[in-house]
Amino acid sequence: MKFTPKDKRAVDERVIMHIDMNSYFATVEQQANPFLRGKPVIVGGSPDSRTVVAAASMEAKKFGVKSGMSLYEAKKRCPHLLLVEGDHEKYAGITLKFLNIFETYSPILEIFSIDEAFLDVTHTQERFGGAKEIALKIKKRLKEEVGEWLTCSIGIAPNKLMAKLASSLEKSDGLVVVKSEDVPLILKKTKLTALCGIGDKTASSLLSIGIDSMEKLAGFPEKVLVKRFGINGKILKKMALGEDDSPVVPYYEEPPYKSMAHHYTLPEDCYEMEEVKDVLLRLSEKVGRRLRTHNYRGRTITLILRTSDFFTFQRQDTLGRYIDDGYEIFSEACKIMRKLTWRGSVRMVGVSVGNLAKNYSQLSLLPDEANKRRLIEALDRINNKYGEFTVQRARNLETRLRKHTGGYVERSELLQM
Amino acid sequence: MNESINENIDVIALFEQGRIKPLYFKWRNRKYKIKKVNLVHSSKKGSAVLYHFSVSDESNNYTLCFDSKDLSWELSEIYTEG
Repeated sequence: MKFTPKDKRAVDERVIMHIDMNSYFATVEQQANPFLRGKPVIVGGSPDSRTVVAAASMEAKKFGVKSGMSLYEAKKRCPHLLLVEGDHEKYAGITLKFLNIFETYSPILEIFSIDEAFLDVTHTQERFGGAKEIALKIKKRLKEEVGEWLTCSIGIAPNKLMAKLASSLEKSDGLVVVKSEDVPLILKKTKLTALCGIGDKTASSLLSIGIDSMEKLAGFPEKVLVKRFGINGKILKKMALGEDDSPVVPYYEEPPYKSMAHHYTLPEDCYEMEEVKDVLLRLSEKVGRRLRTHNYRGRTITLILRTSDFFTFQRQDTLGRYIDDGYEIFSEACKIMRKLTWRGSVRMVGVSVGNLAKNYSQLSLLPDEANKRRLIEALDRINNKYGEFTVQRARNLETRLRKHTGGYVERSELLQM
Repeated sequence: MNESINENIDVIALFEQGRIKPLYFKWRNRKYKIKKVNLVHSSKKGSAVLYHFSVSDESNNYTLCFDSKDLSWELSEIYTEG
């Protein structure tokens, strides 16, 4: 159901909610397995791989364990930590459940990540007794309909920026309402990096011109900020004033894909380029399938390689034709690789296809091309029915990519489930 | 501690208000009474939709998997304390 508000209220009269599931992956695992409840749990890859913490439970966070930390570092801080191997399908499935709950209160629902969403309740809140009441109903329904161990922090504010900040002010099962008149006082007490969009790099750049607080940023001459940061300079100043007129973009109105990519961190540093190519082929086939599933083809192929000391190499080539066949993508990526003078080991491999065109149909008069197309379509039908890589290239039979768990998911793909 | 099982089981389930609630399952000739369904999520395997039920009895936790295509049940994993 599409919803188009007829009256255009001033942006600062909006009522926006940001809902953030607390310690999401870890909490889902604790919900599924009661033996894990109340214990320091982290979700990551398999213990014998080079895993990092994808999510830490509230109990683990008390020991200073954080997302992105290596398993080694996490265990140093909390020796009795319990590691659970991540299950991305489980988290995505639960995400769909809570998104369905949120959507009953407004159709203007933006999926920000696998565990966060924005909800514009400006035009619907009166029906449910107000935004705070909606928030309380959401919390109750999460417990009743999804699981009693799951909690979320909700921020309610006149815009997305402040709603996201508000939800972060109470970490566990929080509910914070920020009115327009409260904004200056809240921002005065807020660090620059607490705002979504200001990371360590931007904070460092701001510091280099003498800005180390929200107050200083808010009062800084816009001209100087624009000179230093371009158009972002204007946005930064507005952020420091708590201003944000960006709309909540419903998931059904999201812009099309710009590119599709797959990356994989190898279990061990790899010195054999043939082994790297085996992984590259598998990743290319995955990208090819995604392109075909969404009816895209692309003509810019990007190869990404990362060394064990975290130097990232990225080079691309733009073709004169659009492709969606995994093996063609692999071949083009290999051509890029052949131009490299590579020394040392590879830690991570990635391939991306950009410069996309949707519904691109390229008729070929060549019988070989037409036959190849028919074969790809037949393979897709089999793999769609029986599971990915049911039929695959012989070269890939020995190549296995371990499951990865991360906080990012293609939003449109979440909805394909 | 968890252990992968992946064996077929027999299940008695309640279909109520659009939901499936497994009540008992039989595995290796022993009957297990499900005390609580902790979490339910679904996944896809090809064109089949699989439903995963994280459940508990008096002693342990289990993951049961229902394949909606061939209507079969499987015991996927057992979790024991310690």
